[in-house]
Amino acid sequence: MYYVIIGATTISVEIMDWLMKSGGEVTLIDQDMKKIQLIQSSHGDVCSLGDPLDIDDLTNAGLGRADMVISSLEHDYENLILSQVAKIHFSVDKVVSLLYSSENKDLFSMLGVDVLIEVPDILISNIQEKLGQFLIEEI
Amino acid sequence: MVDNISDEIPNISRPQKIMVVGCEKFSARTINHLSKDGHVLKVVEQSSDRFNFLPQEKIDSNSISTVLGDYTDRNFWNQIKLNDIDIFIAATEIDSCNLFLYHLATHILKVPKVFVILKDGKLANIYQTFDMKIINISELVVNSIDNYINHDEDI
Repeated sequence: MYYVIIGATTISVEIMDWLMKSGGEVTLIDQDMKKIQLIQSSHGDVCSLGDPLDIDDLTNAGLGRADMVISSLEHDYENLILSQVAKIHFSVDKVVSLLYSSENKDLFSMLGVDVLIEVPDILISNIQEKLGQFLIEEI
Repeated sequence: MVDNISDEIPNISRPQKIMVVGCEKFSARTINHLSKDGHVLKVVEQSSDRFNFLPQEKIDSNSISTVLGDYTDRNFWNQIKLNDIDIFIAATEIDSCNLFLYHLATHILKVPKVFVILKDGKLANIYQTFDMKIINISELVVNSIDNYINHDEDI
């Protein structure tokens, strides 16, 4: 399986690690040269320098042959449009996107994003889990 | 795709109520132009400094009203009354934000007519395949230069 991850963040690098360990071919695209160099120094030649919303840069990153695209940009509006471009222009089969505001879930679903990862929900669950353990220890 | 906003908004007897999101220099000129044609404008912007691009006399006479807020936040839109808006123009400086606002205005807020301004010609070509009212700035500039060079028209 060929995966393209859009946007270099702590979360997306973790996802890349996991996909590579499971034997997937992964490319990560970001426009920040320093971030790219940092990831390449630890992971090898797995990055593509480019604007995540530039059609030529996405083409160069191999979106046209991707089995799955994971959009992990900083804003919902970027992830929404990137996901739609991946679907309608590059005909990517599976598109996964991070979602920061649950109120935008309707738009993502409407535009055909296959999987939504709701970042605040994950954070809150994790905090509740950690706090719960702490409270139990207190009792 | 439309050549310019004025072609799509005819001089009819009833002034149109138009919401413009984003107030950089280009959109401020458009707002001023539409206001001169008698339309009523509501301008949404995240940065209050940018309202300085608008003509003060039009704000004083209430033909242009301003709303300050984070237009990428859905909670902001939940607080804005849009039931009397005829036309919505997404004109921020970020193409992806304009496309997001297009989808929001069309599918969720149900504004009757929505325009989106795009700077990236390739992105505009992709979305041209949909029934979207796109104002493609790069194409307008190219056409304008072409007309000047090949047809002796003023830019």
